[in-house]
Amino acid sequence: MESELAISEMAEILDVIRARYSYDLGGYAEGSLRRRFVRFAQIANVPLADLKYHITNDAAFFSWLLDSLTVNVTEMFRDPGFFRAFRETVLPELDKHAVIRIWHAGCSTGEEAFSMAILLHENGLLPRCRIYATDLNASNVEKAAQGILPLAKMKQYTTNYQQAGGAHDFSGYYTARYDGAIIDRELRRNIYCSVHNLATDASFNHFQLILCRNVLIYFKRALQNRALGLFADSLDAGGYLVLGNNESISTSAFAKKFAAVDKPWRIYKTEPLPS
Amino acid sequence: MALHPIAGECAVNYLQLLYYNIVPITMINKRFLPWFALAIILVAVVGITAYSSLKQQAARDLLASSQSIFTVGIGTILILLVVIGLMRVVIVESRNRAKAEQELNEKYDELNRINDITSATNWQLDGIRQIKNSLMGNDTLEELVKSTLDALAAYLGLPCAVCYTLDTEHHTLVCAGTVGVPMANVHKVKLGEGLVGAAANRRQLSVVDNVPAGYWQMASGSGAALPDTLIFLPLWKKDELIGLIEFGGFGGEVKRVTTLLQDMAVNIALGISAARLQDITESQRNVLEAQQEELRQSNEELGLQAEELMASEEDLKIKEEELTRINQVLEEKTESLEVAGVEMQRKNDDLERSGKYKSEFLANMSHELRTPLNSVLILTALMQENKDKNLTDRQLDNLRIVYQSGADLLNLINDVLDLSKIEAGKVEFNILEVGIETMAADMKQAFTAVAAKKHINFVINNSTPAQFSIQTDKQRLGQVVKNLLSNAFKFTPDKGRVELSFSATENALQISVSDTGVGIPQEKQQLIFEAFQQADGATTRRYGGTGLGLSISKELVARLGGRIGVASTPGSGSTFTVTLPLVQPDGATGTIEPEEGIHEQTQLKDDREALLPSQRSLLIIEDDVNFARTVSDYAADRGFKTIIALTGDEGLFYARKYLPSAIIIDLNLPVISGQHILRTLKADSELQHIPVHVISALDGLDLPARHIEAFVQKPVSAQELAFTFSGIETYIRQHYKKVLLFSADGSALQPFMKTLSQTKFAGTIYDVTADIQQALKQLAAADVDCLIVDINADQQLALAQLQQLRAAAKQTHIIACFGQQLSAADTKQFQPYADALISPSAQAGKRLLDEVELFLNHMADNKKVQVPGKFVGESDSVLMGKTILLADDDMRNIYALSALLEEYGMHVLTAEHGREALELLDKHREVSLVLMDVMMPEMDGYEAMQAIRAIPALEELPVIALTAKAMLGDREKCLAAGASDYITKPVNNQQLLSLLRVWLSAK
Repeated sequence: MESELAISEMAEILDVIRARYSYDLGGYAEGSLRRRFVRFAQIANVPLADLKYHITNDAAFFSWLLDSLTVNVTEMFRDPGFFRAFRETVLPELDKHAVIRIWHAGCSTGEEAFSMAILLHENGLLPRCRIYATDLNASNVEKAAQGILPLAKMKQYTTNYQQAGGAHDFSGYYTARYDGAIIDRELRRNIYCSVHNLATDASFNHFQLILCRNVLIYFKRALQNRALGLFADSLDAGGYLVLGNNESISTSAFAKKFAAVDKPWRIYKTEPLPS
Repeated sequence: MALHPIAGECAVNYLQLLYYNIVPITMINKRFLPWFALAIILVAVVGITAYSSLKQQAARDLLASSQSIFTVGIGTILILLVVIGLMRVVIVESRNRAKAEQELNEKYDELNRINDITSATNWQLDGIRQIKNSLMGNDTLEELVKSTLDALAAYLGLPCAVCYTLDTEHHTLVCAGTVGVPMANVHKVKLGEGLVGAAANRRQLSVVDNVPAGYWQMASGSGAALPDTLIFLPLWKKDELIGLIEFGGFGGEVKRVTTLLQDMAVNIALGISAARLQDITESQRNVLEAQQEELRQSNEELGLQAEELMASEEDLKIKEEELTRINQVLEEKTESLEVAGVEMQRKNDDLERSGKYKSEFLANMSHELRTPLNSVLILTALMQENKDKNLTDRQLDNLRIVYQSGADLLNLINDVLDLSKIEAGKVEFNILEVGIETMAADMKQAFTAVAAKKHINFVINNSTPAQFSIQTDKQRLGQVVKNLLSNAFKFTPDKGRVELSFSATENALQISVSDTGVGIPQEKQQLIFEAFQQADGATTRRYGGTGLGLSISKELVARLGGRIGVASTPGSGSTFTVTLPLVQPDGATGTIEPEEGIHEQTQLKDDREALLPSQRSLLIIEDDVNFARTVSDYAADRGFKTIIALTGDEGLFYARKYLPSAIIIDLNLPVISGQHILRTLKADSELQHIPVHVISALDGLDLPARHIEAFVQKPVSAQELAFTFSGIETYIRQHYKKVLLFSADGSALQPFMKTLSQTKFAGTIYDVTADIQQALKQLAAADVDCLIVDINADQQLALAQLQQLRAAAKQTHIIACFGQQLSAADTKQFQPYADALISPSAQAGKRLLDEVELFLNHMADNKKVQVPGKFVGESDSVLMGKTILLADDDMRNIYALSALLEEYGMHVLTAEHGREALELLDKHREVSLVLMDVMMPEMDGYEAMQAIRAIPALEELPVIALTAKAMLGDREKCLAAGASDYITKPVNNQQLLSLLRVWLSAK
């Protein structure tokens, strides 16, 4: 079939990307990756056969590809129920720490980190928090650092915020103009955005809370295990790990290190230090 | 009686005859036995008759002897006849027997031949059966070849065999299996080449007896040996060559082998061909399985989401998630809310915010406290004038005390408020260059009179260099120094001495105030800076004042980045010293202090001191002082601010501190090498976008090309330098967003600059100019994306300039930023020439930066989709022309809000209660949004919202509830009644506009 991408071609493209740009996409679920390659070729109006050539010779083309390859589905207060559950079960525990370090792994364009900052702000924890928002994709990270969200999405976010139990004027957290809304600087002050690749990079700190929602579903089992291992190593004793609704830790090698705090919302906790 | 001799002789003859002629015959055949018996009987009868006659004749006479002889002759003839007959019978019989024997022999030979043929056929058949068996039941080609070769070699007794299959693509025979020969010894063979290749072109089997030397050798248990006969069996399937089998043998019979092989060739060919097909099928099946596996994976990935039918699964995924959310929204709506829990949460929030409210309360009550107090003071002052001359001296004294106490109280309130404002971080600082000489002169003027009155020797020492200045808030610093001086004068007895001195160190200014007053005991020296704590409780009463001055001073100095200290000896005087940094630190991001050991060069002059972050600037990292100066001068000519670093560590430090627009770097640098700096820059997400040009004597071959923009090898010609700069300028034009700040004195932009210096966002260059010609030039060069105009002193001039700038830059986004509050009429004057107007407020800096960043983001988004840049006038197209229904019974609120909305081009319909709102909505279908107060007569907001939602056409209409701050439960009720969002009264204008932009934006 014309529009198909042979396994060998896929492998060659991944090799090129690995060698030239040090991105290892080998751990991503193959079917989904191939579909995105094919779709990207259509968008870019490039024959599939030429994909490898362009990737090899054009760094800008590659970063465009990377933009469309990585999944950028995110929103503020996605799954409002999660944030309600989180406030009740996790926040009181986090409150016990003098400094709270939070890692949003695979933060996309930062919406979840902003939501978390609002939640922490409303509960008086934000000044003590350091929120690290990382993503594989540099242009996502740049967007997260800018803190500007598309205006058209704000209605949905408002509803999400209200359902998540937000107690204030959501409109007090942003300034809207043109086609964007910029999140308040004070909220973003303690958010640090940076590029981090779960497939290749090591941990960079110790955290009381790691959120990695709806990222692992795009990974193969081996990469899932790597990421979960990274999280397990990066969490303090008694730290929390949050995964997406369709992701589970139970089948991984690290299941024993975590106890489920809230199963439906995939909130897990590491063993506290024996006292 | 004596026997006649002749007769006796005859009898013996007969017996002999019988013996020799008959016995052998009987021996030969039992058929002759009856004949033999008859012959014996006849002989015996004749013999006995002759004998008896002879006996009779001998007895009588010899006369009868002739008769006897006759009788014997007859008997003999008879016997002879019988014998001859017998002989004849015997001869005939023998002849028959010989003939039968010959026939029998022939039959026997025939039988033997048939036997031979049968066994040969059997061998062949058996061979065929075995080989056919070997062709069956194999899963792969390899197995098939192996079993077939094994069977062939074993059955045919040949020591070695090699099977080749044809690679049709390359016309080569590829070894598929061997027996008795290591695979490694066999190579690929081109068709037609060599023995094998030639044999493959023939349709028939071929035999080679003279094997060439060096031909492959067999590996057997006895070691390597060369076969002496080779048999090549080409495998044809109809007209298609499938492959070839080569056999090696050590002589022996090859004929029947060849026959069998020839017979089997087609079968083997078919077998191999089928196995090859099967192999292909197998690999295709594997591919199919892999595809199925993948399908399974993608199913798994899609997880809970129902179907994947659309062409783009990813799009479907997003849509499905949206659906799920909508479902959740519906579910949530049906759930009853846990009111009690929510209330609890609210109460917690209230508690938590009470601290903040307290300071807000303090700040807000200023008006309330001061208004009545002012009345008291004014009235007391009026009474003191005693215009009616009806007050006694005593009453006048009392009035003076009332007035003084009131004035003290007012001061105290002001101080308390001041302190609480500073503590709550509500004081905005206006950071400017402040000249020390001016400040000294101001202080002299202010205190000379006091000094003269108290006969105090007031001395000012200024040891700072001429024209020395410091970046600070002039008014606040003045407040601190005045406070210290007035304390000094207050506590210094008559004829004492007060000294004010200024001195500068490398990066700090010291201001000292010394007096010869009462002094402060050691243990109280820290307490005096705490609010309401002085050396002695009685001090306040004795010397007056609120006692808050030092606390306020301490807070102010701290906010200005400095510290205040005291040294004192009770009885002989005190010295208060204020130490302030020369340059204001970046508040939020924290000052980047030079790391340990970094030496900031002072050898070459550059723009470091006056540089703002994100200004169009060039960092030159170069240890050759002369070359650095050359590049710096060149850069300055081309409009760059320059920063020069002479060592590597210094360069890296400046890069982080000033975020230059571009970097020119040498490789051979002291402390840290250029290569190291390059790596560090490119690994830092804040710095990696900065273009780096390398100018070095080294060849630079080992630099990764993606790390640098260009490489120029020293020595550098003027053209090369020009080329480098045009490269940098092109990069800046293409990659940076450019904001030009046009400001005559810069004062209105101070808060903005402060906010800007705290932001981390790079990729934008802010140029500042005070020269309108310069601004026009840059606009003409289309080198500005956004223009900020500071409108401060002369409004008419500013308006004229704005018009000029607008005329020069129709495509550029212009933001006008005002230094003072404008009347509506003024606003109208400016509006046509600017895309946005920012009026002064505590948040003006932040607002302006938000405005700029949102605009640049908007511009970048539009650039991406290649829409020609025409932004003028669309600045608030979202709001423009929309109809808003405002339902509120508070006329003041209606008045204020309609004025705001109309200012932004919206039409406002007003309703005083819910019923009226519904009636208006019925008539005006063009209403895009409803602002609904909840507390209204007739029909309140909740009821009205429920009624709106009950009308199908209005289900989606955005309805924003206006809720009171104190009524926390209102919000839940609003949402339950169908409000899209709520906003707390009193309404913050900017927040309301943001909210409207969100809810009026297209989906």
